[in-house]
Amino acid sequence: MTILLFGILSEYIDKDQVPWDSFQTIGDMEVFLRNQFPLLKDIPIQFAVNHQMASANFVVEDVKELALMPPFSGG
Amino acid sequence: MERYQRHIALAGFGNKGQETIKNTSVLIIGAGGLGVPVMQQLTACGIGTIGIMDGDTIEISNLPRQVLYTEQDVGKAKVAVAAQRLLLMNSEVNIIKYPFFLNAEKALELFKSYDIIVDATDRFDARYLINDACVLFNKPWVYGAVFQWEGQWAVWNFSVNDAEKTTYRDLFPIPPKANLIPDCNAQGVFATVPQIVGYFMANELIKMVLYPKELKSNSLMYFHFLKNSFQSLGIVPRSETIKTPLTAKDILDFDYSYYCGYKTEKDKEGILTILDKDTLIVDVRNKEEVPRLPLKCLEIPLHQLPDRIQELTANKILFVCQTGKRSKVAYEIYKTLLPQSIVDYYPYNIELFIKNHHHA
Repeated sequence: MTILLFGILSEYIDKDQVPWDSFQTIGDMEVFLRNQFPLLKDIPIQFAVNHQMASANFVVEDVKELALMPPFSGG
Repeated sequence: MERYQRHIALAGFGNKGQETIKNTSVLIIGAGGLGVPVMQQLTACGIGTIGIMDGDTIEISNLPRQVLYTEQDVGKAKVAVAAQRLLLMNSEVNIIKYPFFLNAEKALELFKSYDIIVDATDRFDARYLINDACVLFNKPWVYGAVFQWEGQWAVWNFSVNDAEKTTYRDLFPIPPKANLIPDCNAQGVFATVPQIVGYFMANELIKMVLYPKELKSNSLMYFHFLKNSFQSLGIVPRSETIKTPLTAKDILDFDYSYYCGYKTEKDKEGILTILDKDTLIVDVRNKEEVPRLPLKCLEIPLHQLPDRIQELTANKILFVCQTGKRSKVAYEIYKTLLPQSIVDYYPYNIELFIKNHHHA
């Protein structure tokens, strides 16, 4: 699966430290990420699976592309 | 109509299309990196009424991105200069000046008289206020935001054929707390990025008016300007309900600034109680940020902190950074992870810290 980290998440998450294929749901993945990378604390993350927003109970299967989007501020 | 001949020549556009643009009113909130390209393009192509809201003055560091302004304009109000320049570009457009920052009263007073609202701000409190007020008045709004070499944009609260609408709260129901997302001041942005995102916003806005069926609503568009990679993420309405301000009174009573963490409960004097000769000062900025601290400190960029936490062994630890945002992030995270130490952060910019504490 292709993992895309947007914005500040590409600085805070080390892709190689995450067993991306091992999670049942997006929610499980988020719990792992927040434990593994404390800088993520309180930063909202929107997950998108195959270009479509995916919520916490989304079951991780047939995922070609997973994108993680944080809020962007500046203008 | 000679001015708009190239528009009118477009198939399906014609005089009628140009007339429709002329009868459209747009309120642009923010006359900075995103607002400038949006207002330039909307003025040039003949939007009938453009309101511009911003309480800021022009700074020299604005000039690379905000190409409507010149060196002679530094120190002047953005809205006044912008209106003057835009009218030179197209005197047929009705420009309305709002030389102040958005607040709930202004949103409730002004949004209802515009067809479309544009969020060209760089603050989450403004964004969530715009979102909630646009939902209240049933107005579509165009949004853009940037981060370093990345940009995103979308049209919210809009759909054709009565399909379900989505809002920014479907993407992010609640804002990030306490300035956790660095803005352009802290993280930098290359000048072309907001410029191009602003043009995309203007393009989406015109499509919404003239070709609504072509508009990919309920989508967040994303572009990485170094990698030239484009993404479009489909947004779906959230099923879970969160409590949000729904009525005008709710919006007036809601403290968006506190909600988004811009107001802090931190006692400004608290800083002086921790800083003494035993305090370990930890500079969490990146190596290239200047000015460097002219005093003994540990330099650990924020993203390296998790791997170097064992270096923080002092009894008193003070995090500092360029603006006070990243130092607060470090503080929020490490105050609990360093139970043996007193941990604090400097909440203001580095120049002030150096000025007041160079003797430390």
